[in-house]
Amino acid sequence: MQQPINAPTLYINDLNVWFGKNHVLKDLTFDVFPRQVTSFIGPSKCGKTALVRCLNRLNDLKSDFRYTGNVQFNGKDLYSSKVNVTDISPKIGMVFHKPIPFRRSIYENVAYPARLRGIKQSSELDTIVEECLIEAQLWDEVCHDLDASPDILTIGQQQQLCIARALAGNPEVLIFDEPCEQLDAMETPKLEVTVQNLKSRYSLIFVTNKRRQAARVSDVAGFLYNGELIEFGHTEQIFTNPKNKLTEDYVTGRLG
Amino acid sequence: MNANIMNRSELIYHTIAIISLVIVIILLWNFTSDGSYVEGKINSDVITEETVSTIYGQLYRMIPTFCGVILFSIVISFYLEEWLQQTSWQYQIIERHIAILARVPSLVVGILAVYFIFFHFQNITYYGLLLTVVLLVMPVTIQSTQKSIQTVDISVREAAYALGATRWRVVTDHVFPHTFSKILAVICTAISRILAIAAFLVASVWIYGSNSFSFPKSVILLITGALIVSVLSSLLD
Repeated sequence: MQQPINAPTLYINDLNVWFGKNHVLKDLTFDVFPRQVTSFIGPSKCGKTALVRCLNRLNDLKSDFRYTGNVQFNGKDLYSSKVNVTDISPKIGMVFHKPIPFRRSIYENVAYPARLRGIKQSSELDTIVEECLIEAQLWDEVCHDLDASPDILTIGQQQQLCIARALAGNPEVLIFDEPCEQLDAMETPKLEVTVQNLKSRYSLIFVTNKRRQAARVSDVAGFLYNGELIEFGHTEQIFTNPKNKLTEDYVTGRLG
Repeated sequence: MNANIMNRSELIYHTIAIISLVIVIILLWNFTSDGSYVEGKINSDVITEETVSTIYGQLYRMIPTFCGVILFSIVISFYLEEWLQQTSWQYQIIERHIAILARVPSLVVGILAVYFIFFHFQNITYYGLLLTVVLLVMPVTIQSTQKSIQTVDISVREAAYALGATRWRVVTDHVFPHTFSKILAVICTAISRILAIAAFLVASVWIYGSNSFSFPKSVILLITGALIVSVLSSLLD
């Protein structure tokens, strides 16, 4: 069954998450639409990372993880027993706060998700690697060093490589979990431009604790505080006319 | 609630451990206080040149078994670290037993092997040597391999899982290549332990049989081999 054009890619309803006895996310309800950047802001330890890790099922790796509520991806329950996690994970790609290139060449890093999907033909892999590196705005810098180790790249370039690698998984949603945390002031704008360029093809989720960055890159923003989604709406409204006092305190810098 | 269950299970575990220790001490006391038992069993007539060559024969036969034990230990380490939940009771029990066995000095295992294999049973059995190899190699190999697996950054695993890798692919593509040199070092350590204990076995039997404090050349070779492999192990680690 095909999804209506304006249907959300991700539909989250009444999501509660626990790690052991720790109730980290409380009654979260929101939608993520295609071709939009949805950002989540909030002070550290407010549950931003726990939330995005729920969306690509990375929290499953933790033995004390427990959840209630409904998370739907393209209209289907993400946590259904019929869902194969290894099939769904690349569809909801993730870029972590620290660039994590694998111990293999630049080419093999990007080709890895394609190989996991069973693609073996070198011509097909070449095309995927080139397309993904172009999309991640890294092709011009590495096209002559594809067989080199990612260690020759700067931290910013390594993060671009991780974006290219996530794109090679053929995702529909791309999650950025504080991707500029380790980048310097010169590299951050480039990554923000990449995010803006990717918006036309993917649903993007951008987690950051930098208020101005969220205001610059996102179309929709959510403010998380102590595991609760205090406010969720258009970025302009959140930053210029917040409805909640806590949101106002956070965006004006009085909180966090 | 969970904390109570953990406390209760720990209490039971510690009680069993203390009772076992008391039983072992009582048995050892009886064993050593009645000296005739130890003396009576030792018969130097059975130890001849042939005995030593039989030992070597058995040791050579043990090489495939030794490789199997090493491989099995490495597989167990990966199973414990990558498949078994570290909070599960199975993990906790296996982990504790391995920790206890790994702390037993190799000399203790060697003395027990010499006593039981040569003097008590007066026969070099395959199962006796197998038990020695298992006690000597498995706990240390498992523990060291586990430690090397734990050095692999969790973020590498998570990055691979996020791309849709299965657990098997994560282990074969990322964890194993990361730990390969350390596993080689662990294997070298195991080889050096085995060579050293083989030297100890042969030397003990030789000294007892010949009634003189001299070593055959092969013992020196075994000790040299153990030292070389130890150095190699430290280079690889």
